[in-house]
Amino acid sequence: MNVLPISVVGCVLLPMLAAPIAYLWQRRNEKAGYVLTSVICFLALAAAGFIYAAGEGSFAVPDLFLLGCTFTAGGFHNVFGLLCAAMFFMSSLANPAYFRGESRAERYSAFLLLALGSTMGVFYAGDLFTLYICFEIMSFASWVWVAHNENKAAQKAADTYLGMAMIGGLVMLYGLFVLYNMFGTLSLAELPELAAAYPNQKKLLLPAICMLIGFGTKVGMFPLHVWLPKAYPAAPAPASALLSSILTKSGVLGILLIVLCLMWGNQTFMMLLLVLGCITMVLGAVLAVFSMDLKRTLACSSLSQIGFILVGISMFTMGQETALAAGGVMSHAINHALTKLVLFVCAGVIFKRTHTLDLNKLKGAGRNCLPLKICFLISGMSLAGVPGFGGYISKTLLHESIVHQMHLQQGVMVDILSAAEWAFLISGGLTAAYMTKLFVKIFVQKPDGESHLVKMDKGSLIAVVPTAAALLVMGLLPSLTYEKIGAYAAASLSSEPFAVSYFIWENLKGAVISLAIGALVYFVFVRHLLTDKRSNTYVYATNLIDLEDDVYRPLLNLAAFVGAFAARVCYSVTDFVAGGMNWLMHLGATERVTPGKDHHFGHYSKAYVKMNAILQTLQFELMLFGIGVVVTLVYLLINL
Amino acid sequence: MNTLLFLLPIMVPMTTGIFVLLTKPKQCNKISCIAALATGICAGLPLLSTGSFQMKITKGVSILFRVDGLVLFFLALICTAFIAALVYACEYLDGDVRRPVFFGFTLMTLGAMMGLSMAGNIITFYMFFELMSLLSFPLVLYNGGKRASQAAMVYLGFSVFGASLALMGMMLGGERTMQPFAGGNFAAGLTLKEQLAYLLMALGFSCKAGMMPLANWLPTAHPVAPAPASALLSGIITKAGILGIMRTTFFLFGAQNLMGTFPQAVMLVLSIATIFAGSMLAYKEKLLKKRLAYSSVSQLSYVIFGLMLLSPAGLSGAMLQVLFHAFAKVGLFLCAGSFIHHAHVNYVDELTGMGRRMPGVMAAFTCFSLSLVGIPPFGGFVAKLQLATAALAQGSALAQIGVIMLMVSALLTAGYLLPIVARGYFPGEEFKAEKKDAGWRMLLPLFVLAFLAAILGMFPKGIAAYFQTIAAGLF
Repeated sequence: MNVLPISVVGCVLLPMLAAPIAYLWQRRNEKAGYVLTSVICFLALAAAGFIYAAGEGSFAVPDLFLLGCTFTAGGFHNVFGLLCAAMFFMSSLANPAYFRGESRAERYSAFLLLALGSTMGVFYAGDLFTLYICFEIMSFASWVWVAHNENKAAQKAADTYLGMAMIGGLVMLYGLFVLYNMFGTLSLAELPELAAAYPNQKKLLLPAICMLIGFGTKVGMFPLHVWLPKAYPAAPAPASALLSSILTKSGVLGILLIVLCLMWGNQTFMMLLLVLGCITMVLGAVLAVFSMDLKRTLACSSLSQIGFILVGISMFTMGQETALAAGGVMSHAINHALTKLVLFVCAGVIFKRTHTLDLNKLKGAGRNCLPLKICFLISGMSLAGVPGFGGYISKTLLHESIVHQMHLQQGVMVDILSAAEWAFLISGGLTAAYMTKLFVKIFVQKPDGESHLVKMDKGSLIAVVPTAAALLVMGLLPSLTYEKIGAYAAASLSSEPFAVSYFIWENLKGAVISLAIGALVYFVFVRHLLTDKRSNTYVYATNLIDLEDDVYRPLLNLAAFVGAFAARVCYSVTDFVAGGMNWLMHLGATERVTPGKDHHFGHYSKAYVKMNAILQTLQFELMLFGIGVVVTLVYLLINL
Repeated sequence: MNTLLFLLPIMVPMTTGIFVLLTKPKQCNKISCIAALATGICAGLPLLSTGSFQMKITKGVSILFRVDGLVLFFLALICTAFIAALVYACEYLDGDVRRPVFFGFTLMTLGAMMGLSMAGNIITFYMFFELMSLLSFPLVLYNGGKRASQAAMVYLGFSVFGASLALMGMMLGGERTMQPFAGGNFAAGLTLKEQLAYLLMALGFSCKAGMMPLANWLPTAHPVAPAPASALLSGIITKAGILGIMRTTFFLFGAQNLMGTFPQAVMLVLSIATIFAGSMLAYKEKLLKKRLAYSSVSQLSYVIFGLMLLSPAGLSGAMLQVLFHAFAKVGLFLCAGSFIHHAHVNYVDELTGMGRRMPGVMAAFTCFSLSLVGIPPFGGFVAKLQLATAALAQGSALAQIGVIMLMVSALLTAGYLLPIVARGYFPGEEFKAEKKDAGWRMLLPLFVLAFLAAILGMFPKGIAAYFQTIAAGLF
């Protein structure tokens, strides 16, 4: 029996349908609502597990949304789907503690489920049309998360998020239209062949770039990243955990699909991804080093990690010997999802106790909470790529893929790739620096004066500990974990197998260089230049330029002004003409009723009055008119 | 027998309309709603008929009613919207002693629209078109005062001017325009005079459909009319103009004949410009009902754009847009009316926290907004999908620009509707207000329309196939 249809319904449709029920239920009984939400997430996880076990398959829902929706399972779809359901389930466990004492937590639960269903839909979509629909619903559901706190910062962040999601979505939709017009299908199974056989490859670049803009907005690719460092801190912590760990991955999947379907081996697209990926990687890391806010640091770190993945995808786009890159992208995506879940949930625990995210005020806040400390440390190390932790494996794979491609290329390409490699290593170093900065501030330094003792609740503990443990296991036993998953996923991305010995000097070297850079940055830059010696607090380094406030918003306002001006001018032409006519008509008219001016003209009395008064009004004339019509109709009826 | 089947849908609302004008305010609600329902049932009668109903007036001029796929669609759409608006009006005009005037003329307008939908030749169509314009005039005037009467004059002026353009076109078109509406087989080739005649007729009818340069009456008339009236004006009465353009284009002149002629180019350019200008002006407008009126200007030009592609796909896309725009816009105006009636709010900025104050209405407003922007699962998405693919398939430069404009306009639509939703649901921490939702007579029509927009948006295959059959018969 084919389990796929039932499972897909289980993980896509069920959460969407359950969303309103969870809302109503939680309003009545708070606890039951949380339980229901978690249970639904667990069911989705189980369904994703079934799909993973069942392997490949596809099924279609004909005629839905006119073109029909299809779902497909197999390879990286399954890995992402399973990861997604697991992250949602884990994060849902942290909800009761985080939202305790807050009104309208039921809204969050409902939109959590809606987003779960649509995100699963994105991962299991069998064609770009289905993917787009799920993507849009996901954007909307997650917009509610960002706006949930309803303070000024959340409002602005939510506006930016929604605006960018709309722009990205529409540009992507345009790309899909163009693509549909070219091939008459958007099926993931058919597109690669059709695109490879398409005579004018340059024309494929337009839809590919349109789609890249759409997905790039969601992953936070430079220069479309502006919403991200604002939205994550503004959202509630369990939501930021999901935004960072899994919603970005939907964009990653999308970009992978662009490459697989349209841009396989396309040099232009590869360069575009490489350059933007490098900028995102370095920019995010630098912003994170400067950041003064716990969640903002983590958000900027997400940017940077997404940059790593983009660089990996660009290596994948090379089109030959891509196994390393495919494995690297998949494992780094998994690693980043797990780490960010832990880190954001930890941040939520800290925030719930201290009600601040300002690093200087958080000094020593987590000193006394051992589980929190350990989990934070593990995921921090993993993110920084310290050997023995999950991140080391994935970063090594990505690094190896760059080095490997460098050997295959010649000429300028080698220099470009070597520059990319250095950007990669430096960003890795910066990662280590900002994670150390966070850890030392919150967990090592002694608090001045009164301190809030952070305690970890059971829900968060259950969410965080297994995830952190997974990171540790993955780092120590890569051959049993990452490689299995990586190979499972990579099989669908590229057929070649790969083997890497992680713990030999060749590969450890990269990590050592990175960590050395990190140590240098931390001790020289963060501890000296960014720290005020007397009070032992970080000083605020102002942003030179805020891309959103200084560039995008003014540009958009200008465009809106110009557009509105042009529209107003076109629109008023008729008014001018009509006004001119009116003037001409009444030229030299004597004092008498002018229909346009006199407001008694064609007007009837204010109060309702009986028949005799109606006689004097326009209404009466029109009524007679109607009577005339009726009489005519009756005449017709009788005579014919 | 045919006579009765065709005349009953016109007579029922027309006579009850006159009757309602003379009744006491107390009784008029029920009578009107029942009459509208009865009309809805009567609208099914032409289905039973075979052939047509004809009466010669003079040589070559006759009243002709007949039934085809387009007729059935329009009858169903008009009846649904009128019933929704009338049920809604029972609460909106509660306590207003002058309400027989509103109900009476609404019913009479309904009668006129029934006739206009069933019209089998342009003469009949034109007569009922004018009848509709005149009978809907008191609806704009209803609130009284200087602004209302001026707006009503503007409405009347534009209606008359537009209709006279159409009439001029009919005269100029001569023999060709006097034929009964028939799809397919047309005398091939158009002389320059005939092309000009077509352009005049299309422009004349596009006045009702709110296309620039004759769109100015919409933003003037809608804000002053009572909400159910503006809903009907914007959602349904404008569609009469669309039907006029459809009849002229596909039933009198023939799509093949018009393909590549200058009237097609003119209409495409104008509709694309209107799509942009309408959205842009709506984006800048602060008065809610005026914003919605500008929005109609833009959205209706989507339809004209789709029609002017002169392809079967374009036609069925345009029909989908007619359907879903009607749902969304009637719904949005009714929501705006609820805000005005219960919360006394006219401006967009004052709608903050509406999600807390009137959750039911705001939920419906959100659905209609999403549909209008074109966000799945609501119907607007399917309509825009069909329009855009049709335009890209047609491939001409204007069509390509049109697709980009559709996208820009969708973005602007999101820009002028979604902030209302955002502020409505996320007013800020310190917002406090009492919950006071609208009554069931307001909520029921809203929910039904929202449900229809969602369900037809998710499973549009049946209705899309229906439109495709209509379109296939015309090429």
